[in-house]
Amino acid sequence: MSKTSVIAEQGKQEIVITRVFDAPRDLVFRTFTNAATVPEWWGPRSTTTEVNRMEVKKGGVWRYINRDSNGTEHAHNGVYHDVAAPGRIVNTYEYEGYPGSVGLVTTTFEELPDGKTKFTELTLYPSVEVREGVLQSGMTEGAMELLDRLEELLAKLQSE
Amino acid sequence: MTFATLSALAEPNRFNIVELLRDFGAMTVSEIAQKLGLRLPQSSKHLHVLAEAGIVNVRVDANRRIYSLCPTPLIEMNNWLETFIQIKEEQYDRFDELLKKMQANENVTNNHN
Repeated sequence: MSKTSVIAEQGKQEIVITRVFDAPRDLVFRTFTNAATVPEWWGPRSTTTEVNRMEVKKGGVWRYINRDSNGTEHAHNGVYHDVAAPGRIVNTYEYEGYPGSVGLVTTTFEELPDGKTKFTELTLYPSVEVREGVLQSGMTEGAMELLDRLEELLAKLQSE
Repeated sequence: MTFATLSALAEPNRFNIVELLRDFGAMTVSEIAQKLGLRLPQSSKHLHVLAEAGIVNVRVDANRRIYSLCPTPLIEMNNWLETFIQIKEEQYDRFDELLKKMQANENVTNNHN
């Protein structure tokens, strides 16, 4: 069962990712905005990430270069619109492979009881089409239901 | 592969046939038609589409054709659909590990003060 919730409702332009971390909000925010440790977690596991720029302040630029096992580079960049520690960051997101399709990311860090933090990343894409492209599969809510049903089906098949 | 699988499953009656075979194991086309309230020619046609996509197998037993599920294309499709979630899950798993490391470092620092 995954700990990361991904919601992409049919016909909308956004993807919402939610996760609860067992750490205080202040630490989560600091770690998330620490350029030195971004390469330890950002991007797909099979790739490496280099922080080219990361000025975490209003108007600051961020740019990460992600390299896959073939050495192919994928660069991502954006600008911070608002940095309100330790609760909220608003920034843009652009994948340089599709320049001009810019997403708006609102990341919030909410204090929960027992020293936990609820992390929410909402990315709003310029169109439903771009969002579908991001999901690679047009994974709408309908497909999410399909996935649930498939999982049940597979669990049954694999237990035989 | 994936588009053929998706397209084969994307029809409600065909998806119901798949779930029926999951629940009841191997069945003939008339058993399937009867259970789902479908006409025989319609059921045959759907089973043909599912067989083409490799989702069902057919075994001939005397004068009966017995259909059962073949899980491979479904497993492949599940892996494909999960890719996006998996990437995000892995990313935040690594972030989580980093947080634990940071917390451990901070505890050491605090204990020294």
